[in-house]
Amino acid sequence: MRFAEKFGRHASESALLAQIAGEPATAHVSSCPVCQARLAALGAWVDDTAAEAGAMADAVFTPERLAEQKSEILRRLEAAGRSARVIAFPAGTPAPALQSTRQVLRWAAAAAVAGMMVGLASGRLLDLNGSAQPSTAGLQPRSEPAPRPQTIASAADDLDEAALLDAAYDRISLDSLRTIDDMTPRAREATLASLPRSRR
Amino acid sequence: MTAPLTEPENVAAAIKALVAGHRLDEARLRYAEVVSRHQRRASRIALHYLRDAADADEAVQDAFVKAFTHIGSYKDEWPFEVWFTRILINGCLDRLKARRRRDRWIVPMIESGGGERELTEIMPARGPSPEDTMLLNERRRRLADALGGLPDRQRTIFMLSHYEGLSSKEVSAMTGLNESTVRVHLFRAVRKLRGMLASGEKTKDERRKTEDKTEEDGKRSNAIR
Repeated sequence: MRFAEKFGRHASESALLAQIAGEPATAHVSSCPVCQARLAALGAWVDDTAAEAGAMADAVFTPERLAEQKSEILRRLEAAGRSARVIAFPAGTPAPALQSTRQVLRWAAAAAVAGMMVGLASGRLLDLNGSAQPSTAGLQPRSEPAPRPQTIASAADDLDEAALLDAAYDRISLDSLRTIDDMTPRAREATLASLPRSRR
Repeated sequence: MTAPLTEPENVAAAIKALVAGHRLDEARLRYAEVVSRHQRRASRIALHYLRDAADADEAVQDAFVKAFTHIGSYKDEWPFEVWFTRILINGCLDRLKARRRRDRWIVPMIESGGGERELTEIMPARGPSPEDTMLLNERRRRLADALGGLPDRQRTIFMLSHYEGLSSKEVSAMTGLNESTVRVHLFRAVRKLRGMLASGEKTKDERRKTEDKTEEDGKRSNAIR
């Protein structure tokens, strides 16, 4: 080997690889047959390695696998082209707007009925308060209770009761009772006093 | 090395016009041809990005569907394959980010192994002899490990440049990186691959020398007896 070659005056492997990668050739490599031979060998090695790597990939993706892949691609393209299916909403359900209007009407009717009932009830209550003493005009006279059929025993009992009451009254001072009676207001007079003048 | 494929721009433009005119059935028929032409390359790129066949499959499907649904935004200044590969790589990057976020919280089961095994458990290559087959599988296993050791971007740029045969300008458009960055990534990828594979070779050679020495010692001791 010549001195220059032995002591690295030739292009380094990195320089040759850079040239393989696309860098422009150096002046030395263009003129040196040794470096050109090395460059060619290195280039062949790179190509063989790449070919080997490609063959490995081709062994994985066989023609059958590629055919399946193509079918799947075309199926996906067809599916992508189809427009989305529109699902009809279930029938029988009324439209929300109509449903809300009916509800409103129901509530309004219920409120009206309730108001009427409240009004009637309050009117009735006031009416009852105003006429607490029933008017005598429309009333029928109180009828005496039907006398019970007299028997000798019952007649004798009644007489005895009455006599006892009389005796009890005889013992009470009539003057004192009369005073109390005068002081006690009559119910009718009290009711009439409570009514407005127009209704007395 | 595969020769770069170029999509006739008029096919993509025709599909764009059909979609714009709401003639979707015809557009899908024309698009099926585009899928057939590009899916193998797309699958290789996605597989080397994601290192998992199922993920790569889904990423490729998503990219094709997205490209069709967004065909209106395709412009003629770049070939269709460049535009489409950009969509694919962005999708792969999103999947990688999602996977890393998920893996932060979920401890993978040791038995399941995950997708990383898929590349190493490849269909066994057939050689002229069982020994050649075994050597070929061993070489592929080491290559898969070495590729897996590269950062994602370096791995993709390496594959796009040297397997797909794309120029640095096209790779730049696909990855969104500028051309000088693409060259830097490519340089680093090749250097790292070379280093990993060379060290693997050294280890294999050392192992073989040790085995040979052991065999010779055994023969010598038998001869002495």
